[in-house]
Amino acid sequence: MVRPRATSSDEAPDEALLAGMALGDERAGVAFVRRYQRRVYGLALGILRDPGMAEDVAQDAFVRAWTHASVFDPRRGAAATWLLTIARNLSIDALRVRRPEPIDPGDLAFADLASGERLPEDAVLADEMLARLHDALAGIPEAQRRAVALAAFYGRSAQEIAEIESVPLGTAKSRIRMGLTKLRDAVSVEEAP
Amino acid sequence: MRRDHPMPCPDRHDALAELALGTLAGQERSDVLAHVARCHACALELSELSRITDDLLQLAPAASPPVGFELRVVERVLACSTSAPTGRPRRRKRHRLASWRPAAVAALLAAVVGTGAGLLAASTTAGKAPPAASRPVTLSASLARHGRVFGHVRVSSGRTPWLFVTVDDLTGPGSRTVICEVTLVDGTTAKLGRFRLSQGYGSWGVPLAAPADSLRRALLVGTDGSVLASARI
Ligand SMILES: [Zn+2]
Repeated sequence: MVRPRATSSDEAPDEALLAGMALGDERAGVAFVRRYQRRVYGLALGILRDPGMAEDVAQDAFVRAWTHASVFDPRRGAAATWLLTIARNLSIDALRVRRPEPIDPGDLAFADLASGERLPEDAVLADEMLARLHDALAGIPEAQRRAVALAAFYGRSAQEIAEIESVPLGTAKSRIRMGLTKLRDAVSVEEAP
Repeated sequence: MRRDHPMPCPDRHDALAELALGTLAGQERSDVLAHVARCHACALELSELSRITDDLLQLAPAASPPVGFELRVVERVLACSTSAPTGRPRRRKRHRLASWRPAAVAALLAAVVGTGAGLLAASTTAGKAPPAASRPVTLSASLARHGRVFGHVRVSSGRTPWLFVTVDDLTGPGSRTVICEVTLVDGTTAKLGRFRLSQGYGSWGVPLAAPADSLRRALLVGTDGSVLASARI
């Protein structure tokens, strides 16, 4: 997505905002937080299921992104991905530290990502690739979707997924792999020239 | 089939998916990382699957944080950077990065991998293989202390040189943060970043702004400054 001729911080590309933040430009930082706060907080809330913890983690994520803006390298990926990965990792850490209880598979906020009940931000679905991924999630078997969600959002290992789902380790591993490769295939099949 | 590139090795495919999801640890992780470093098909598969796991995060439903959220973020950032002009934050514990950039080593200090696999939030549960895993590894050294090997440091050359560290068994329960430092051939040192070990295991990578052959030693240092292990590159 190219946003040419940015004239203010609200329109500036993510990379420009991060560059500004690295130089101590507070307005750039505020614009960046504004742009992503709903997504970062939404991700943390979905993983943690606790508004207080989610706010703490979301703030931590932004503080880290801000204080490390100088080392963000756009060649290695999009700013949104970078930021959300920070938020995801912090959420998982918080989950493990503060709520070591096993996950009830019926209680997974993200296992029903594809249900359409709770939707990502409009801007996200406007991205064709992400919209396809969203649809693709609905098309894979539920067990595989849950395995992928448990790993991607909750940081659960194959062994932990096997325990949560009461299936052999090998089954958990192949569910993870099959789910993820099906998503990849669904997304990239139409990308081929 | 859509695939216009070679199929990944069947016996590695499960592990590649788990690695992409950041949920592989310990020996399994080291094994598949080592494999990916020399298998083009698996490296390609890993990068594709990693992209999907990155994109999945974007699908999380958005939600509005409590009122005043952005203000509190700003306050926290300002609180730790009021003494900023020298790049020396007051609350060093949390935000030490700026103080890791003395002029002598500025040339070395690198950008962190965009997927978050690097400095910012790296942990064994979440760190992903750096893209460099698919490039030829030119240098490898054991991380050791008192003759015991705790892991490996690999430095890959190429257009963007990379350093990555795998820690296999740096004993200690729970998780702990370690700092990766390097010494250059000219004798200067630089802190490249920090990452988390979980039950003694972890891995982390960072692109380098200096040529791979300018590194002499890599050190893993505890947050209290104690040297945990070192590698002669
Ligand atoms: Zn292979």
